[in-house]
Amino acid sequence: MKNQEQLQEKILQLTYEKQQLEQFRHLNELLSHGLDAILSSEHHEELFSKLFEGIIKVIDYDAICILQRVKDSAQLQLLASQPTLNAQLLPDADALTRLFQRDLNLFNLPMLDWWQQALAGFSDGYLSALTYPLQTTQSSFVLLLLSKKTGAFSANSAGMLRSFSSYIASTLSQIEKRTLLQERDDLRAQQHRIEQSLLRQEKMAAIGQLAAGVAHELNNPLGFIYCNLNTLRHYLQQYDQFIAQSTQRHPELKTLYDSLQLGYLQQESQDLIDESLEGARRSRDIINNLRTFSHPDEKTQHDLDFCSLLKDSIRIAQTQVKHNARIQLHLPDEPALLRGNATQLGQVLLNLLINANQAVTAGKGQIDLSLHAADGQWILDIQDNGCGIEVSAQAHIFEPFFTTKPIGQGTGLGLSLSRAIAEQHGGTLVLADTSGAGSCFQLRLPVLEAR
Amino acid sequence: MFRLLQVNATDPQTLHRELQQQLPAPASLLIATGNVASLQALGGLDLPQQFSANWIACSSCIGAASSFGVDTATDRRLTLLALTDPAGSYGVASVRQISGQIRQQAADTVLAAIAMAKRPAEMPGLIWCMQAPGFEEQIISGIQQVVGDQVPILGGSAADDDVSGQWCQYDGKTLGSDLLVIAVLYPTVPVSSYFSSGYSTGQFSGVVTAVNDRQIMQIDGEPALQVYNRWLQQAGEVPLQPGVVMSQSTFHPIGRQLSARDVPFSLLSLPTNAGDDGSIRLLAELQCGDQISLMHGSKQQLVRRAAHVVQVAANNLRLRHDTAPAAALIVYCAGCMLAVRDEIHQVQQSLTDSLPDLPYLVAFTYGEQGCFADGFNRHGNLMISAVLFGQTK
Repeated sequence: MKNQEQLQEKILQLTYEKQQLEQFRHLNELLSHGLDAILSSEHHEELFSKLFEGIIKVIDYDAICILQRVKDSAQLQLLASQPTLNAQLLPDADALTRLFQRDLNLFNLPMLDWWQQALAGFSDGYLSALTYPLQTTQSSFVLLLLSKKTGAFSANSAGMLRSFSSYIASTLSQIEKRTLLQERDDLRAQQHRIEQSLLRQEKMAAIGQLAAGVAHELNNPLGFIYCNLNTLRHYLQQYDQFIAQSTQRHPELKTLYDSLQLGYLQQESQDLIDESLEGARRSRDIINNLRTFSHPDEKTQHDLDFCSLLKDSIRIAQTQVKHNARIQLHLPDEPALLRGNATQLGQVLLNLLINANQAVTAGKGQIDLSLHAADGQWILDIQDNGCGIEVSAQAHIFEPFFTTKPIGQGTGLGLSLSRAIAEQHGGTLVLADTSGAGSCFQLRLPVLEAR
Repeated sequence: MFRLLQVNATDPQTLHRELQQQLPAPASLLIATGNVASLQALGGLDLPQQFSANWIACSSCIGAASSFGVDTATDRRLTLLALTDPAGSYGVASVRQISGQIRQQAADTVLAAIAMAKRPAEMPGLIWCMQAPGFEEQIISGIQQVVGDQVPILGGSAADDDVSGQWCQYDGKTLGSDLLVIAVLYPTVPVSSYFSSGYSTGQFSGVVTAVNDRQIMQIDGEPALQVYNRWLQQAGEVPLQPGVVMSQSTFHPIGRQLSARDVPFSLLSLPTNAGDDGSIRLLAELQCGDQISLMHGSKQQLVRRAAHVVQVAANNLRLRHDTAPAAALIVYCAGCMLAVRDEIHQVQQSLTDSLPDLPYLVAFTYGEQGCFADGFNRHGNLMISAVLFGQTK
């Protein structure tokens, strides 16, 4: 009997001690599970999900979440939860100072005033909570386990969570490290983009200076070429008049006139001069455009009606567009008042219209211009049904001298100049959309403020 | 953090003077015990709050045992375990027990104790209760109604020297014979406990078929006393006669068969009275349908049992918290103590050997509460429970 009693008691004792040892096994499982979660999870959501799955194997809870207080901020974030809890119902971190100070094993949440004031909605339906504060270099966290039972968590559960907490803190640090590395990479990429942009701006400034210099140097010789050609044409008209009168009064000269093919030479000379003048005019336009690009003239600005400006520009463009495309204009009922330089803005509109016209298929083009106001700006969408802009070209269309047109047909300054003018007027010009079905440019200019 | 005091309790004035000498600063919690005559001195103690805001005490059969030794019936002294733990929290509340309202009273009292500890809604590390015997199951149920079943509830029911009902309890204000005093502990050191008996299950068993609270009327449809006596006779023991039977039944209590994780164990109930009507009155409740057995105990088992319980709790402390014990609170069934009274110094020595140079306090009680191997808090008789406090890290 004595031996039997001793044996039975020993079994009970060993059962009790086995229970204690099983907790270590659970803890080891939890740690092993956590390690596996860290090693195998690519995303935070997956990592937390695996950690939560590990914890529920050793602590029976109905909901779990990690709250984060961002450093030097009262903002409280729901980092992860299972099942999903409503982050909108979280208070400021200041209302939950107690949770960040020490671990708590709360057996009846409804009887706790501060909890009810701060977290009644967030933890609605849950009666007990086990909380543990965690600290990393960047943030403070609270691991929160909730149960629908009163007094659900034992001191053993609290101890288990305590043992696991340093592991969770390491995991959170690891996540923070990952985030910081990502932020570092993003910043480096951003820095690279800024450097590239600065280089482009320097290049453009250099081009602008060069353009201004070239324009200045070419302008004078071009001026007298143009002037001389006009004078020469006038002289030729005098010669033509003299030849005509001479052959009329002296018919014998007609033979010589014909043999020397003076009629052909007169016409040819006229054409040569006209072509030269046209060439000189184009050169002058290019130079003017270069000068405008490099130093957009601070020309006088007036109160304008964007609608009238659009109508005028369309009227000018129609000479080229009318055989190619149909223009539809959608304007607001009231005048669209803005302050600007009519010439410059007209040039922008003309550029956009001509570009649209060149993008569409002859005879089947459709260009829609739609003007409306939003957020204190006039927004003009110029939509065509043309061929669109190649992806490789999209990043460069606003760069000076970039053109997709055949050599000689475009200066590559139209869009860059138009953007410079738009910005000079406090607005923007962007490519809003482009595809094989067409492109849409959007010009925004500030609405005239009432005085 | 833990200090064991032994003070002369001949009269309240002497008690006050000795407490002043031995306890110059207030303790976070004072747990006291001694025989009825000694505990009476607490009733006249002036300004008990100067020694601690939280007192919990109950009378112990014959006297207390501790690392100082074992009291005798004529000793007039109290033994106190003083916990000084400023970073922890402690609260005590009490109520005069009213039959029929005990469960709700216990619920209200544990809430009041938690409020005293200023830890609203926070789970205590340990609940220690001392009460008049009679309603322990309802008390445990009432406490668990508030805090759930995950917190260990330990303690003992006040005892006198002769089961005459002179037992008393003290809460720092009132000395009473029908008090329920509950202390909630939020210590800064780890706590471990174990709850066990020193008895083995015999071959005779039956099912309770009629019961009235703590009085078994029938076993297997026959008068309970008739069945119990038959079991005794078959075991070679003398059958009981109607009347007070506590000392005769100490080595043959009734065991309610339970199991913890598939390992069977028994929760003991000590027969105190055999009725002329064939009923048996116990110190613990049984329910109809309970499987019960005749249990067997021996002096040797009871003598070595207390140290064994302490060793298991110490192992647990080492395993779970990686710390050694710093102090212990032990509740030892008064019935067991009376059965081994001649060997009680051996019990005390075995405890001292298990807790060398450490303060420990033993109360001999008429009912023991503890957390069983299956993790449930229960009330039992002929039990030994030990709470070990770990060392400060």
